[in-house]
Amino acid sequence: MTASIETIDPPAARETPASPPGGSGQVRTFVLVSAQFMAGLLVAILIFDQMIGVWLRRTNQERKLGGEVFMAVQRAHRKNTDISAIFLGDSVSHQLFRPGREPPGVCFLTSNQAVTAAGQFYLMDDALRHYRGLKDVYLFYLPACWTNDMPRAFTRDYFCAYFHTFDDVVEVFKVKRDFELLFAHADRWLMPHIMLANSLQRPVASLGPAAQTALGPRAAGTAPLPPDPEPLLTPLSRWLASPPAVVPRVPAGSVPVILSPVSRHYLARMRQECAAYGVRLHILPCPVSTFVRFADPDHVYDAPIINDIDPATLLDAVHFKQEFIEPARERVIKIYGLKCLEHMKDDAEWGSATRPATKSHRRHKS
Amino acid sequence: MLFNSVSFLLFFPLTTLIYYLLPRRLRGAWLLLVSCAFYAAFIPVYLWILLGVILIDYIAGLMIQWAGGRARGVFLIASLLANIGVLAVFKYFDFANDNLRALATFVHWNYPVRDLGMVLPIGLSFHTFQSMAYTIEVYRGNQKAERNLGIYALYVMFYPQLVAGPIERPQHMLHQFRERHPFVADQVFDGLKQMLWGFFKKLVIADRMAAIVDAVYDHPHDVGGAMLVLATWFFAIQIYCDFSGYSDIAIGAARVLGYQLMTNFDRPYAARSVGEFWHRWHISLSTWFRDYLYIPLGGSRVSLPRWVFNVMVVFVISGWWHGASWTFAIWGALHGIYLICSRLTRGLRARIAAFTGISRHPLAHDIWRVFATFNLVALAWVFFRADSVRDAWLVLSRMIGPGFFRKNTLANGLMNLPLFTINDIWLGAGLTVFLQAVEWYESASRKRPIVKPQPRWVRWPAYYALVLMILWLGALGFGRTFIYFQF
Repeated sequence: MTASIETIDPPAARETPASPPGGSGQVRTFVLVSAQFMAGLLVAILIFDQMIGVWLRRTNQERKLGGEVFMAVQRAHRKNTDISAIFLGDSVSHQLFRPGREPPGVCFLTSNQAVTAAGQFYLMDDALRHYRGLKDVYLFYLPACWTNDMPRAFTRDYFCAYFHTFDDVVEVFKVKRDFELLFAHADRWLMPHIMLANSLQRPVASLGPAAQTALGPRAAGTAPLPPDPEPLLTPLSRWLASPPAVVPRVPAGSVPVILSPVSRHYLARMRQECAAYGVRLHILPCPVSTFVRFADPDHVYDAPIINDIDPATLLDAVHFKQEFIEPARERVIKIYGLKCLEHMKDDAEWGSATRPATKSHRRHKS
Repeated sequence: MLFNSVSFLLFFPLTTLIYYLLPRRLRGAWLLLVSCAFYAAFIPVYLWILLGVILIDYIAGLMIQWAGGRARGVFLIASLLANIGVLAVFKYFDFANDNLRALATFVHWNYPVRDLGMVLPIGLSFHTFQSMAYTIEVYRGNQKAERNLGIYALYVMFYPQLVAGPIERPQHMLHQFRERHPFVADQVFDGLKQMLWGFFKKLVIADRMAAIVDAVYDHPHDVGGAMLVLATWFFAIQIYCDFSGYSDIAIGAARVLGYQLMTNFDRPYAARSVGEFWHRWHISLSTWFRDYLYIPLGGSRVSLPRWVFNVMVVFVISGWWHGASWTFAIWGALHGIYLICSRLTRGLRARIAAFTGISRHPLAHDIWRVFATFNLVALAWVFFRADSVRDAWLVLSRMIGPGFFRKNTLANGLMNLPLFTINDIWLGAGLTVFLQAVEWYESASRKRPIVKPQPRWVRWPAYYALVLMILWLGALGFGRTFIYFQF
């Protein structure tokens, strides 16, 4: 590019009387014009952010990246005194308890594990403030999801995009002490709607395994990737990082439920918050296959883990195939005694959060 | 350090501020220090390799100047061998070894040499070529050997262009490190605007298109020819925006510091022939090959067979400069074949143009030529992007065979959502039109400025719009590397 856009227009400084190069006049001009430009930019961002906010509210975001979190947050912000129980949880619970299919008095706010335990807490917190008649909170979480400690690949789009009040930013930084996350989180606090739209409109492929490489798999073998994309921030974060998760001892052949520092902090917060509101909190495991035997020595869950799912009924390691969702749901309701779900809507579309797989998808999975 | 990282957003203003606050005599040292820090941010230990090459070429330059007769050539060859040796070890050894092993297996010979498996230092091909340009120019007498090691080190390590060019020439760059660079507000604004445009191209266009291109090219078996054609067009735009975006940021950053880097791109997809494309694409590399390889081989003032040989040598080596893989060699060879065919069919094409009457309509003729050139270039990009020669053939066979109408069966991604949607494709197409319009306008405005005389309230909203589009549509926070970093 020869001159790129600088030829579109002249530098604004040319409007002021010329001063000698390197003189204080040049610096003054630069500071003055920059300040004016930045002030204008700030106003433009504020206006655009509001416009994007209106657009987001008026359009359907369900089939977008993180759309299920968007929908859950929207629902948690609607005042309702008739709701007595809410269901939170990961993508398996989203299959089992799909928003929109709940019986009267119940609200499904299930999303996915990428929002982390922190996101589940903030969703619950929103619900507690808006659902005044709430009596029970059910959190369905896969045993493996508790290890989630806000990985870089998903946290910006699934967590920071939705939970970014000033207090949220401060609390997450106190727990994670991660400067990269702090910057991402602060962006969302400053420009909530623009950055949310940025996350929602991102192609799913941008989160793929090749997303960090330049030319895909071939390059991954030969091309160097910078070890730290943020060389100024990552060392600081490592220096201040929280101690790693404690791995509890379990019998041989079992895998323990491990609480990451984020999960540990926000699980405790959930218990405190529910106690403060006088609401019962039920931490329940999503059913898991026989492939891995889980043990819960720290008693994270309030009920035993259903660890006997036939791997043949699953699409991948954890999600149910379409035809096995309803039996699994009925079994979960029966085993955990979820009386509030006894009169659920009978819907043929039940579990359609996971669309029928394409031929190629089935081939890959098989 | 990636330009598209938060670290660079902190690093650049801070180091620039200190640069202008320091007394003039310390500025060079400061630039060298921050350049070292910039490079060490990738893989610190490779800084020593770079410093070693700098030292060898610095001494070689001095020796070439002081020595006489044949000794000058010996020092030049020693310097070139040192540079090519580093490239050979880090970039080409494993590739050559793989091919020898395959050959040995074919003749049932037990091949004992193992791969080195070393990670390629970032931007190795760029700074070794820049170093070689220096010693060659000293040898030719076009450039005096630099006595100040710090200045020579800065010539190689100047951080805006260290890892992906432009590949500078000593005559253009070295003297700038001796000149005064006072703070000039106009210059800083110009540089910042060029950086903004570079960020837009990288974050909004290149990285968005990369998601679609990756999804298709990572699963070529699951997509039809029509989608492959689209992905290949998108890759053409992606690689242009990725690389020219980098160049814009590099040139802009240097300009903020008071330095002028050479032009690297000039609307390459507006080229009306493949020859013209190479005058507009990666200009600093194509002129390097022209000056240091093509012309020494005899250039075009030789017999036709010899010229064909020269062109093929230059383009195949140019392909291998990009990467140690047969796909890159074929990519280069294809461009060589294009150029040869272009020369051999010149008369025939002129007759066809006259026969069809299109030559009487210069605009229509130009549009056709631009379209044809773009598609020829895009066809070659298939080899550049595909993961293997086999994949590239599959892509080409789908594009031009019955597989063109094959249904796409790409598996869905996360939460069973499609990897990309029709909206992503439309957005990509819209951004391409926008890019071409801006570049066409820029080209036109060089002759007759339109916006230039306008007041701020007309000009600034354009910059605000660019910033807002980066925030809204840009691939922020992923630190996706620039494609040319791997070369």
